[in-house]
Amino acid sequence: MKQRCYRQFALISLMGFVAWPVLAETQTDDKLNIDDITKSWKCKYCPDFSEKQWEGFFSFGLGNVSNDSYKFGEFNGLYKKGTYLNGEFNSLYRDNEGAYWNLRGDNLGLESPNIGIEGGRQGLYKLNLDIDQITRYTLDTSRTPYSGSTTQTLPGGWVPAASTAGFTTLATDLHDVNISTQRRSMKLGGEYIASSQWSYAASFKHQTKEGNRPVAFGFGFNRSVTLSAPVDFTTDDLEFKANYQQTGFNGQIALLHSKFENTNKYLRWDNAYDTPASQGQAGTEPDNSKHQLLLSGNYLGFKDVQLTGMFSYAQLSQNEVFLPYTVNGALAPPALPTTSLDGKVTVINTNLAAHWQYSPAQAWHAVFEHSEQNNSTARYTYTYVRADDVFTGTSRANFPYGFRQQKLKIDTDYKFDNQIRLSGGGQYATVNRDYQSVELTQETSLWARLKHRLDNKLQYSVKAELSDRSIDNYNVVSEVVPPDNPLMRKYNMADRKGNKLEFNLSVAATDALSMNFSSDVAQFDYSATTIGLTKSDEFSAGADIQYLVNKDLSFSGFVHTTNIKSEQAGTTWTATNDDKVNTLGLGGSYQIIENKLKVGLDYVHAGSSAAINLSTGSPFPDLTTKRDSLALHADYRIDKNLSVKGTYQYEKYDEKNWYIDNVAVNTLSDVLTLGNTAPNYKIGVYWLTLRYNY
Amino acid sequence: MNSQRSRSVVVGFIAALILTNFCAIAAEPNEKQPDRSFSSKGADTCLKCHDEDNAYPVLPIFKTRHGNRVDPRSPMAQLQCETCHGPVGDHQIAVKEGEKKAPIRAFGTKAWTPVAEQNGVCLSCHSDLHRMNWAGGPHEKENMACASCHVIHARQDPMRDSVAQVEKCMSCHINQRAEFNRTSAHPIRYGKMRCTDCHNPHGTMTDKLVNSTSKNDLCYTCHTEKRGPLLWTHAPVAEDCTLCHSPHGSLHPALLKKQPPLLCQSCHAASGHPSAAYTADGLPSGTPDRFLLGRSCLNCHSQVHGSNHPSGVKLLR
Repeated sequence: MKQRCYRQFALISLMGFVAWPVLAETQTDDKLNIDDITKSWKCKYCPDFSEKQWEGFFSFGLGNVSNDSYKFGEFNGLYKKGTYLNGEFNSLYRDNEGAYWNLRGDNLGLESPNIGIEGGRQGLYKLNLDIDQITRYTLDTSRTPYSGSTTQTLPGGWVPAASTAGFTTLATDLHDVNISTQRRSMKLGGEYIASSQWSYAASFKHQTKEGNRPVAFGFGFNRSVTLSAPVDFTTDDLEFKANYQQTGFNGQIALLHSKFENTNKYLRWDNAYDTPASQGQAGTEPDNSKHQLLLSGNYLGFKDVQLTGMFSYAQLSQNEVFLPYTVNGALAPPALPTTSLDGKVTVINTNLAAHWQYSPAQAWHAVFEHSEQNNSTARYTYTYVRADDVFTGTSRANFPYGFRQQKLKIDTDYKFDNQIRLSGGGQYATVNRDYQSVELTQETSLWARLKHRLDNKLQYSVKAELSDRSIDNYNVVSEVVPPDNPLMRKYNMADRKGNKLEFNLSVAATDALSMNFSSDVAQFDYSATTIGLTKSDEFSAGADIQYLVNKDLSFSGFVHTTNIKSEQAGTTWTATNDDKVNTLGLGGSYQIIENKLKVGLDYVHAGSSAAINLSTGSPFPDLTTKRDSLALHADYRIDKNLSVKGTYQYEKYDEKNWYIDNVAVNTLSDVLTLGNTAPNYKIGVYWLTLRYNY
Repeated sequence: MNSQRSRSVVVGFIAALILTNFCAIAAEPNEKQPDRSFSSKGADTCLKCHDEDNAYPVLPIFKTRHGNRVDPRSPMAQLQCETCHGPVGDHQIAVKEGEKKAPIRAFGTKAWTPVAEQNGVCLSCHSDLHRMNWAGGPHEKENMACASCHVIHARQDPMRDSVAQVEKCMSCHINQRAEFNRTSAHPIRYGKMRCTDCHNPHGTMTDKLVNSTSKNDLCYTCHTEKRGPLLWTHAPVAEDCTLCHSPHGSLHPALLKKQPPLLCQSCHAASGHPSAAYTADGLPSGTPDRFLLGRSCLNCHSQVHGSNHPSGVKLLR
């Protein structure tokens, strides 16, 4: 503790040292006498909103989707073959007195609508309302014999067996179950500007998430079932802010109260196997709450130094009543040590930053971050039952994990002239952890960057970074049974050396043609690790081109490739992951008739492959995805107010995923799965949209 | 490198940086500014030329808050156009066809006005808390002008539109554009999220321009069910969501950096099934393996984000 205090003192002293030479210099402004300058200004050509106060557009679209696919409709709602209606509007009101309103809505008619209202009187108050919905379609190839919600039952006549092969009625009992969730949010906010110094804001946000999700639970040691579990979450956030502003200083105090509620307090299901337990029961995410006080501000009163700071104090709490150890009446575990967790975690974040414009050519920047999670949850010993089936009297106490992280970043930036800019910096970071294998990790990183502007047409930058993370000691956590392998080094707590190199090139060949190229390499070496992640490399390169041939014709394109490789070691084996992702995009736009007819196309290809190889056994086939999407569109302006847009999109998706391909509901002898298959589709979508501008 | 050596390197590096600080030669720009005076008629002077038919139409600004004349904070309520563009000076003098007008302070990536001067104009009003970390932030260091992204003379700044904002950000951040096209990604390409939902491009005191007090705090904004605290916390979850997830996109499901069992075996190697090698012999064509196929480790240990069940110590309940 003494050493930590000394280090904090040293860091803050260093920041003070960097800033001290100019602290006495205060900013001075030459004030203009605006009234004198503007006394004869009339603004007679300025637009008069008394004539036309509302303007905007609304549109109606009619579309058709050629095939069913949850993957295609994952977030856009176009998951089902058929006809769709869509609508959009955006309307703005403004009057000469400063009143304004903006009403907007999009995706109206689909399952991802958004409606927003913002308005008020400028300089006095503002109100806003935002209503949003995101429906996520996850799986449309699932099948299960289970029915129900928080209690999932098997059909009458179900024949339990030791393995899935013995479920003789399975074929007739299976029914389709689609997996999706719907997230809705409504946010109401307001701001009141009380004076030139003070303003106040408040907001209330209500979010819900409903639907179902796949989740699997075992019985005893080796049998499990996959269920479609219900989701019914509600989160309410209430926030108040007070802002103070004067020349050279801004400050804010904010209070946040957030409450999460889960309607479903448990998930219970029939045991499909012939083990003694008749049912299993799992916990769900418990209700929790967060209270936060946030202070932030900046001070600009010094001539060349800007100081900013933020302090946050948050308390996370959770006290849901515990479920019993088991619902298996044949087992008799002891009483629970407590009826609920009464969990409390205090999260404190303190950030301080100083920016010093030492000269027109050189600037210094320093940031100090302190973050801690103090977990004051009481420890009790729990004599647990394994998966509602095995009770051996084994017990374990909970670990109230806590973290303290500190980081100091200092960098400087020097402009030799308008063409060369040299930057460099360093970072020192420490992480302290409770109840984990490593108590302290320290990481130092240094970087340097050169940005060179050769002329108005060409500039490049190169950045290199080295990092070194060391740990104080690695100890197997003694209370965990069975104990972890003493040679394991978890990758977030392992010695690590890293290096990164980034290169960027921008070319503006002409006013019409511009290109960007960037590439970066990152390598992390965990060579001190015997078991665990031993190496991780990432390479990416991409290029982007924009070509405006003339005012009517333009092209754009991008290409990008990424390769992520990692190596890890097990007790008697090694494994490599080799992920490759390639992305290509092309676009074009052509105005055939000026202000009348415009056509365009967009094409995107996104392909990936993941190769997994182990030093033992036969090799895995690659996991692959490939998406090709082509969109053609034409806009025709019928008159000043009315236009029509036609769009055709063809998208093809192909995925090969050996985790689920050819894995039917009962392929695994001891896991009843949902029998999903990897998505594959070819879908055509057209839209015809009529838009009216007013 | 041991920790003592690391510390020595850091101290040495900082000392070197401070030394260069006091040795740096201030290269004061010596550009002579033309003598300018304010116009006699304010915006009327400008609007005589900059109407709807002009190459630089400005009228849409009157449909925005910057064009409001009632709010005393608005530039149009102060020195009107010249609040931002500076005294009009010789720019108001008519020139012959083909001749260039005297310059006036201009905004944008191709404008003659230095970026620092452009941004200084914007920050003279917008130095509030959302932008308090602009100085020294990554975009300031890239010498980006406010007008590189924002369009002031437009009815609606494109940065307030999800699709336009994302397109703008990704015109430079091409790695992120590729990531959002991966098979598992947050719904950016559907227009249901925008970059500023998670990042503050004007600068923050946190890494990656995250607009919250920490990465986890940001994730919990939407994923509040994972906030806890829980009886059986999975330690990396409480520490940093990005230890397992790639927030922009992944070729693996659920934004995972890699898939189980190897992801889990990066940290778990206790005797028994966590330490075994799971090979292609466990595919359906061989002997289908419950530790590999379907949900792999999650076929049983489904509560990977932690459990509040008294028997959930192994994340089974």
